[in-house]
Amino acid sequence: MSAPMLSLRSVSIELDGHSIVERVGLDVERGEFVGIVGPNGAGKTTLLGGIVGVVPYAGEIAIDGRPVDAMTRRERARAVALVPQRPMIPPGMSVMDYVLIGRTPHLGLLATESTSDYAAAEVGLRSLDLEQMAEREMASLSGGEIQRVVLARALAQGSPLMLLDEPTTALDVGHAQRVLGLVDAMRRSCGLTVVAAIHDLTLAAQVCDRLVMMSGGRVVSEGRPVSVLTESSIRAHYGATVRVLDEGDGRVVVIPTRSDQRGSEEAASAMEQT
Amino acid sequence: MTSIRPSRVSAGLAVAGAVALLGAITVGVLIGPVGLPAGSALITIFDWVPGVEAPEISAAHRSILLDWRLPRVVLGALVGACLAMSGAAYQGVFRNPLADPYLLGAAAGAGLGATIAIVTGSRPFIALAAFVGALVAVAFAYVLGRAAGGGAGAAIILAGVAVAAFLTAAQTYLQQRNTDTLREVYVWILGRLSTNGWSDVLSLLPYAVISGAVIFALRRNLDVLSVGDAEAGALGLPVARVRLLLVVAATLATAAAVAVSGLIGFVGIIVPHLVRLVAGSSYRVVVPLSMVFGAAFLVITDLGARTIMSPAELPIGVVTAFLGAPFFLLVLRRSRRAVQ
Repeated sequence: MSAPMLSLRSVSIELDGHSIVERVGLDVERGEFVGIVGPNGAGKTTLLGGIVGVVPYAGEIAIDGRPVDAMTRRERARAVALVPQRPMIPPGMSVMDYVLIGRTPHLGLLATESTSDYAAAEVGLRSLDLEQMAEREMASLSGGEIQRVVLARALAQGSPLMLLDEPTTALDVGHAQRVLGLVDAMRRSCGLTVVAAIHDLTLAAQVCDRLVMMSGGRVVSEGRPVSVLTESSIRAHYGATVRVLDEGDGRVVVIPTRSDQRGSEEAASAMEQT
Repeated sequence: MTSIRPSRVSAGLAVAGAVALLGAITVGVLIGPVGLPAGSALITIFDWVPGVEAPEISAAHRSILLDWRLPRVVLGALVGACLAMSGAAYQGVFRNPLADPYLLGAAAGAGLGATIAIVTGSRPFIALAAFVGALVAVAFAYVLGRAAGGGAGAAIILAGVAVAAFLTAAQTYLQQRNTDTLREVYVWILGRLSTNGWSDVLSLLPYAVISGAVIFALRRNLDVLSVGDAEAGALGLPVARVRLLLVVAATLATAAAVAVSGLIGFVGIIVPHLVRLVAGSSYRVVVPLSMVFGAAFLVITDLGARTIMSPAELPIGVVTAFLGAPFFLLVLRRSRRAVQ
């Protein structure tokens, strides 16, 4: 049996003396689409930062069986790509130049791109239907277009594991659906493994094979969406009153309901207990 | 066959750059208080090339041409290229469009060094003192900024502001205590290209070549840095090492330029922005074009500095701003590109 694509063992992260992630353990199999859900401040973004190496951590992280500690910076970037929540967009840069930045882990400091890098960038652009925009400047793109360009850059990176941090936060429901659909299509066509922190619980439940719920820096539950997203777990960890509709295939729809005074007090006290 | 290619200098811009630089050098060599016969003067410059016959030209003209005008024009081109490429590098490294080569205190350090040399009567060492002063100031700013902010760009810039303020205060104090040399210090600070033959060219050349090669070789990394330190790090870029390499290269070029020319403002900030307005903002294009157009720009402004009030010379820093500001505003107005 081959090693999981991503394996976390007792991973803890402290920032400025505060414990943000506590002893998280998680295995993600090759080709899976795993969603990380949880309220604001649960530690989702920090955990992703630890995996790509921009935040120091304690514990063990292995990608495809190799501990990331033993990898060089470039090797790690070839193994895992991150789509950040709020990417910094250089306004005057062309889409093409931006997507080519994704090839950085394949190039030495003094090197410039070769035809294989151009080919990888072209795959990224084509997969996200951006070929017509290659010459455009980033400043001229809409929010949805920018999100696609950032995904294209991550795809051009050629890493088998892709992490997405809230990829749909700034998007309307249609764009959010299309972006996650594109990620899923990329996963299937390019054989990627995807781990995504997702705020929208219904979208997460619709697109992910498996969900991991984090709260207070810990993993509090994981499994199929129907077992993770229950009315009581959402009340306990988000302090929200919702109705959860079981669609019968393991997927659910989460509908926020109007919380009356009693309901919110109950929710607040439930949160305090967790 | 893929159609994906990164931004690169277009043929049109390459030709425009070559024409601008060669044109500036030609005009700069030919125009001055003493008129030179254009055709024979230009051929004389190339009479070291096998097969080129030097025409009849008087010994005086030959000396004006080869010992005075040509070294000064070449010096102007080198200083302009150094300041413009350093400005571009600083803007990229710190993701700050207002960054110029003096961002981390190079000007204040050079000013203090030169002032010390002048007030202590060590005039032969003005250039050396300015060079050392600029390097020490930037080294301080970098080390203090890294200690405070762990290598983040903003902390280094703030440390540069503090170091510059401190050194400027020290320089002003020295200047006030030695009012007899006030004018001399003032003239040095405003900038002036020297006319002492080829020695300044030879002392600047190695720094210009090495720093230029480093900044040019790392130009792609400047594009990568534009997505932010965290993302660049996640892409496998050794951010702190790349930043240090670029700052060292840009600072060496700036310090060497300042040492031979005094403080020339405006070039390092305006030339890279002019290039961006015309050719886009990828550093693959901005770095090489800034070198070429920075060189041409300073040759032309130096021509203005030595001819406008001839035989007196204007400080070149005054001319760069006086000619450069309206020109820049004109380009800004006509450009369809947004300023980033």
